Amino acid sequence: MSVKILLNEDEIPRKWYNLAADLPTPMQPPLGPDGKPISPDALAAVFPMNLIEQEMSTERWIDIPEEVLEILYRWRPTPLRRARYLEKALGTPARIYYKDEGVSPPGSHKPNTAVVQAWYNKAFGIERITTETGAGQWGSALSFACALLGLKCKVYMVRISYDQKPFRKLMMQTWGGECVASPSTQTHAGREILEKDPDTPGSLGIAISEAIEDAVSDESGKTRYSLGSVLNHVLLHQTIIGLEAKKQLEKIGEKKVDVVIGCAGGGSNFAGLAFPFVLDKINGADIDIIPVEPTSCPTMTRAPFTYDHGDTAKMTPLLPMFSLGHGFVPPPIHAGGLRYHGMAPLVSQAIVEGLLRPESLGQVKCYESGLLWARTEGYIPAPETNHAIATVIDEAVKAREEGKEKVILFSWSGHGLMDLMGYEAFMKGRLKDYALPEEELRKSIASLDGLPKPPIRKTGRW
Amino acid sequence: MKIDTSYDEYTTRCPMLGHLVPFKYCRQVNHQKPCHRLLDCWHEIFDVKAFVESNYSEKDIASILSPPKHKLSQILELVEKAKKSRQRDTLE
Repeated sequence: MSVKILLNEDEIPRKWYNLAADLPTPMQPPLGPDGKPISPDALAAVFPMNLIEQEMSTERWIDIPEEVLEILYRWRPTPLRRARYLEKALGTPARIYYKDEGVSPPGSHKPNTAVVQAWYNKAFGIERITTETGAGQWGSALSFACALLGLKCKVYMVRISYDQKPFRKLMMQTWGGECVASPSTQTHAGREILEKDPDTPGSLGIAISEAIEDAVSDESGKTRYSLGSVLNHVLLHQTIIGLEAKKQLEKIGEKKVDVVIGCAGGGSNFAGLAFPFVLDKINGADIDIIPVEPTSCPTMTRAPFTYDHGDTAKMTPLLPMFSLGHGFVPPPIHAGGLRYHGMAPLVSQAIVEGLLRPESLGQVKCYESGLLWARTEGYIPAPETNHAIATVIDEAVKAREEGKEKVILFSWSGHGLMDLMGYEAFMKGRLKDYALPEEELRKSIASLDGLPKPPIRKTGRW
Repeated sequence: MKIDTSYDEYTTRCPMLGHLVPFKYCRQVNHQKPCHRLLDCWHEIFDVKAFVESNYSEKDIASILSPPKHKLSQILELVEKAKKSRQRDTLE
C-alpha cells in the first residue's frame, strides 16, 4: 500500500509559475501615498532589483537558476503523502493527498523562498542580509540559506525570545548567522527604545525597525533586507510546492485533481500549492480550488474588494485586497497564522475572477477535524492546518454521499506541537465559534467610504 | 491612569513569537500599550475584555487593538524613518 509518492532530483520543476501572467484581468498595482503606483525605486533601498523585478513581473514562467536547484535538492522534491488512514476512517471513495513541507533542514516551507532570496541578493552583488525574527523560524531559514550561499546574515531577534529560545539562536549561529537581541545598541531605533526602557523585552515591531535601518544605513550599499511572507515574489518561489505535486500525481496515474485546498492567511502557503492548479483551471480544467479562513475573520468570504489602507493609522501604500476595513477588530480565535488583515493581492484577484471558492469555518469544527486527523494519520496539525483538514473532510464526506471517487489535494502546512494550548482549550470545552455580526461588518465596511475604489473587473468565465 | 498589575504573572503562548510570555509583556509590548492580539490570546484565561475596558480609554482601545499594518506598508514607512535618521546623523 503506497502512502508516499516521491520524485527524483532530476524530476524537480525547473521554473516557477507566476499567476500574474494568466489572470484574465491584469493585476492592479499597489498605490503609494500620492495615489500613484509604487515605483521599483521606492523598494530599492531594501530589496535587490532582481527580486523587485520578480515582484512586479508578469512573465508566466520564471526559470529557477541551476544553482538554486542544487541547493533545493537538499530537501526537495518533498514527499506527497496519501492520507489512507483518514480515508478509511471516513469510509470515503475519495483519494486524499497532502504535500509535506516539513522536511527541510530548518523544518518548514520557509527555506523555499529564503534560499532563493539569498541567491538573488548574492547575484545582485549583495554581501549581507538583515531580517527580524520572533521564536526564530524565519531567522533560522534565512541563516541556513545565507550559510549555503556564503552571505552574512544578521537577525534581530526579539529580546524575550532571544532569552527564552536559546536553541533557535544556536541554530542561527550554527549556520553562521549573527543573531542579536532586539532592541540592540546597534541601531537608532534600538537605542531610542533602550534609553527609555533599558529592560524592555522588545517586540517584533522594534526588531523590524532595526533590521530595515541596518540595511538602509549600510553606506557600502551591500546590505539588503529580506521578508519571508506576503509579497508576490515570495508566493512565486513557493509555487514549486504545487508544481511538484502535479508531477507526483501524474506519476501515480492520477489524471485529474478535483479539489485543491489550503488554509489562507496572507496567502503564500495557499498560493504555493494552488496557483499551478489555477493555471489548469484557467485553461479549462474543472477544479474546485478552496482557500479556507476562520469564520471569525472573513476577509475572503464576506468582505468587498476594495483599496484599503491596511492599517488603522491610514498609512500608505494602498493595496488592492479583500478587506474588512481599517477599523476592523478581529474577535478571539486560536489560529495565529490566519490573522492577516488583508489577503495577498494575487489571491484577491483570483477570487474576484471566480477562480477560487473561499470558505470559512469555525474553530471548534477545525479542532474536531484536527483530532480526527491526529488519531488516524498520527500527526498533530497546527491550528491553521486544521482549517484545511476540516474542509478536506467535508469534501471527502460529500464524495462518499455522492458515491464519487474524487481526488483531493491539500497543503500540510505544519505540525501543532508548539500549539498544544489551543488543543487543551478545545478539549476542555473552552473554545467557542464566533461569526462576525452583520452590524459589525457593516460598520467596518463603512470605514472604507471615501477611499479610492478600483473597478471590479472580471471576465465572468468562472 | 494606574494600570491593574494583578494579572502580570499569568502566562500564555504568544502566537507571533512562538513561546510562553507573561501577561505583563502583552500589556506593554507596544510602547507600553497592549499588543493588538491581547483579546485573542487572553480571553480564555481571564476577563481580559473587562481589563482593557477598565484600564484604557476608548481611543487607546481603538488604536491598540486594531489589526497590524500591511508588511509592505511597514517596510516603506521604516525605510523613510531610517533615511531621516541617517540624514540627521550627517547634519550633526
